[in-house]
Amino acid sequence: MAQPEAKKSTSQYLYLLLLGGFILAIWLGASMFSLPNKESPGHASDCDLRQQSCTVDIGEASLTLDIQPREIRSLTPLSYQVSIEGTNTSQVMISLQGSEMYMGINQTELSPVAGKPGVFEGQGELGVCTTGEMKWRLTVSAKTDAGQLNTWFEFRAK
Amino acid sequence: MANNLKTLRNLLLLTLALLGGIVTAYLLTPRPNTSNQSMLQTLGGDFTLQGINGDVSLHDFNGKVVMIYIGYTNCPDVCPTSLAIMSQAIKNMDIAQQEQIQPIFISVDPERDTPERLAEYSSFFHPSILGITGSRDSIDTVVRQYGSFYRMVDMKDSAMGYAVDHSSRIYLINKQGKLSKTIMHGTMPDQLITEIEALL
Repeated sequence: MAQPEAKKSTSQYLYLLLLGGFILAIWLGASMFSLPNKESPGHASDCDLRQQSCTVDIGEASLTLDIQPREIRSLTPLSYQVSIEGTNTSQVMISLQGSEMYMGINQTELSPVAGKPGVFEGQGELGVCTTGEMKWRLTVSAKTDAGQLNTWFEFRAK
Repeated sequence: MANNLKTLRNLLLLTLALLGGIVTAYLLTPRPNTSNQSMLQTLGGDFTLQGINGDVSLHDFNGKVVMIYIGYTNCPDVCPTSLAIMSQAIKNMDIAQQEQIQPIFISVDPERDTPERLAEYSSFFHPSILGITGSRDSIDTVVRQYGSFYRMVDMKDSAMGYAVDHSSRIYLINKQGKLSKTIMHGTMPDQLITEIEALL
């Protein structure tokens, strides 16, 4: 009588183990493969950086970009200032890409401004010598407590 | 009962295999953009192109700071300006420092820029500038490696036949052969010297 009892309890343990294993597998699989990527592809803005500084609201955060000089030309130094409100920001990068074709990698990591939380500055340029006017996309990428924020602006420049 | 246990055992083995597979996939999955990593893309790397004396590789200059400019000799203004700035920076440094610097001019226009023409053109700016180029494939590889860009543009009304749109910046390579900094076009020689000295 004792043997079937033991077998019964063994099989019960095995069922529990099996159930636990399946739950663990589902949990691991869901957390690794099924959750949406936290990095959002980004927000396009139709604000014209050559006319004004541009502010974009992304969820609880608000991002403002100002470029000087406003007349953006190739191979001319550009001063960037990015202010992010509504969340803590650890890193800000600006990337310039050709909108219509690959124009190389033009990335500038901005530095935090001392005493001004959420404000970052840096210098960059359209580092390409071109014979004609090109359409450019400027993307601001920021690492914040609210996740990675990507915002882009487009403009034409020679 | 024995059959039930056997089925259970097999199911358990399958579950273990499933878990093993998930853990393996997790370990093998690359994880880009971990929180403290820079968002900047990693650029640079070794290459081999040809100069007037044969193959020239970046690793030939390990132990020196290398300055690279990518352009072409028919370039009307930005290439001569940049090469002149590189040249001026070298001339303003002392001899011991100069010996630790290797300037390189890479042409993306091998059809017109033969190694002989490149050597003549580069030495006009400074005798230590090495002019190199290569096959279209090897040029494209270097250009990609350094996040640079070029494209040929037809100029039917010009005697040149075509011009080349291209990135204009100076790449500073440290003594270990790693890209350390890209210098914006128009940077003055004094600023360039400061950046080079930081790597010497």
